Amino acid sequence: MISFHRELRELRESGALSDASAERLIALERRDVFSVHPEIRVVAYAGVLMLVAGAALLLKKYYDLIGPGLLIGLVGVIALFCYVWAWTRRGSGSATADYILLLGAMLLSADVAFAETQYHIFDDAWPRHLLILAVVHAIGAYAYRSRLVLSLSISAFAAWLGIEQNVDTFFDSTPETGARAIVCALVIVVWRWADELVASRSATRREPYFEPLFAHFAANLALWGALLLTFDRDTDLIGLATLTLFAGASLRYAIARARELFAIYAIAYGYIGISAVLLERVVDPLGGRAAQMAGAGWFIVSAPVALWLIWLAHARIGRDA
Amino acid sequence: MSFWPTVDDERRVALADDARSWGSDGLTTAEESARAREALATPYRSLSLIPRIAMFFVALLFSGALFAFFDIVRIPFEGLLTAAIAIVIAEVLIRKYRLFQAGVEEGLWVAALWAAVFDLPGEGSEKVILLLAAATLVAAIRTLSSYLGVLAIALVVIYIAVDVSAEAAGWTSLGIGAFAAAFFLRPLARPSLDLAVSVIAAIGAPAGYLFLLFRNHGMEGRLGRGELAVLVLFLAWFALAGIRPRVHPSLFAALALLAALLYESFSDLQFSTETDLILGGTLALLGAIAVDRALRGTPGGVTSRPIRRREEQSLLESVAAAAAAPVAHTPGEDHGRHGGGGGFGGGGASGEY
Repeated sequence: MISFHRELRELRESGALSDASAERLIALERRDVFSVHPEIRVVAYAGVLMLVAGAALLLKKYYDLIGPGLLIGLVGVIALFCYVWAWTRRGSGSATADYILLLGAMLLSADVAFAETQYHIFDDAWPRHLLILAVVHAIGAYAYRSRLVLSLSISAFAAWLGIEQNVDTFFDSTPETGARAIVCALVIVVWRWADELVASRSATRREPYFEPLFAHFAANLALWGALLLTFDRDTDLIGLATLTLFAGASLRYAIARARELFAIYAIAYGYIGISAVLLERVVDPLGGRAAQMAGAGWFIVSAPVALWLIWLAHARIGRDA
Repeated sequence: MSFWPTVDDERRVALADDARSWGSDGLTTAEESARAREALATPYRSLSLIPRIAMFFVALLFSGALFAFFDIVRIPFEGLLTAAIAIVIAEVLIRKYRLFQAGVEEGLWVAALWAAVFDLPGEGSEKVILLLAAATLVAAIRTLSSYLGVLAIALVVIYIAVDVSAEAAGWTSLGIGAFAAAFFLRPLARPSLDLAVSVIAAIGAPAGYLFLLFRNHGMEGRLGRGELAVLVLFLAWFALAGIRPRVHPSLFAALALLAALLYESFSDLQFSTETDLILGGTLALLGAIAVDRALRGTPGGVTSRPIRRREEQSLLESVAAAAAAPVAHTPGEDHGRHGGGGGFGGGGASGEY
């Protein structure tokens, strides 16, 4: 077990830390105060995932036996109970309330989807239920101030636009999926602006709590969408131009907000995109051993440049973070 | 200059890295955080976790490309040549530019030694995993890299699983985890050692149980009574090594073993999978709620209140929630309502009914 209380005392004596701050940090180092908050969150999160998986299996297995109406009602009541339970504990500092809310939101999603499959409410326009869920979860996220539920809303919205959230999608996707991802990112950017605008004009001038979540989703969806365009011969150049634009925006945001991760996004996605286009258009046509040599040569030359860029980003942003 | 940073320098580097988030975590003011980092400055240059990981993988890419290039142009001893070049670059970065735990020197060192291993004559055998483990351990010691140290031990356990048995690997992993947890009962000076034992203690136990569970190539490897008794002893040890010094890794290991024992109990009752999941999930949630309520009012000592805000952790969790939502079929694909159900969703709205 390591403890930094010696260094912290030195920082207090040198005046770098106030007495109160130093005492707080030393108490943590000595474990005079020890929070089991991380353990509770992990257990609650695992519990939610197990319950949702169990509920999905239950719906699949027993709907013939019990009947869809009763199952939908039952799951709906449990979801409602979760929402009410979480509502009564808002602002109580409970470590678990957010996870009960997440459970309610996920059960609601499963319930709505199940109802759609059974009763074909929207018929051929079935994806519309995803849009409804995106709206409902967004309202829930704002009412409860929950980032977890907001991420479900964004995920449902992305699914409505036709973007799946699995690894296979990355390898099988078409430029059309890339374009959808970019549209989704743009909507999230507009949403973020609206959120900030409302936050700044509200009577309490509330803190834009959701801003980092919007930023991470928007950056990744936009860069990923542009990257998908670079993988197709017909759209690779426009994809590269779009990727450059988005990478520049991500870098600018990283510098403005002192968030190093956005610089890493820009460099990583940019590097993969440039490499994909170069290998496809310049290296592959060489054919045979010449292509292999040129491919290896490209990475020997470009990797140090990527390393240097990451270092530069850290030097510029990391120190301010 | 010394071969490694001194203990004092390494501690200052680690504390300065932690101080980066003091302000945002609500422990100090932003000014105090900046002043502390300035006061803790050393000649060494290190990176925080994410850029460090990025640097590590780009360094691996560079070394791999170098190896491939020498192989394509048919230069003999391509592995040794790659190793020589990568080690020279890494040493220049370490000695001249004072890079420490920056990712790039760790990537170059481990890639160099792996390339040298691949250059060795002989037919492929499981023993190569042991050689890679040894190479990784050397790189870990040279660069004082906790993560490479953990990787070296993971490779040893994998070797045991491949060459001896999954059962032996399982008990070894549990034993190594328990041994690592013992380090929490005494003071440690080097943060790199502390981090290494923390990661090993946290993942050794669950990994060990998984090896035991899958020893018959499926989830049928249920434990016998004797084995369960040993697992209970491990649980008691991890709980002791977590509660007494108040450290998280051992507590996480103890929780994982508790979950494993519950799973074994459910298996005895032979419930259906969905019943197992619902019962397990309910128990986990109720347990979390009970502990949270019991400790929420505690102002000091052990509390369930968050001490640090951990902004990035909260964001990661939110993204994970979206990713954990069941896979969706998109409008652009098979719109399909499959007979008797759908197969679509998003934000949890799926379920492959």
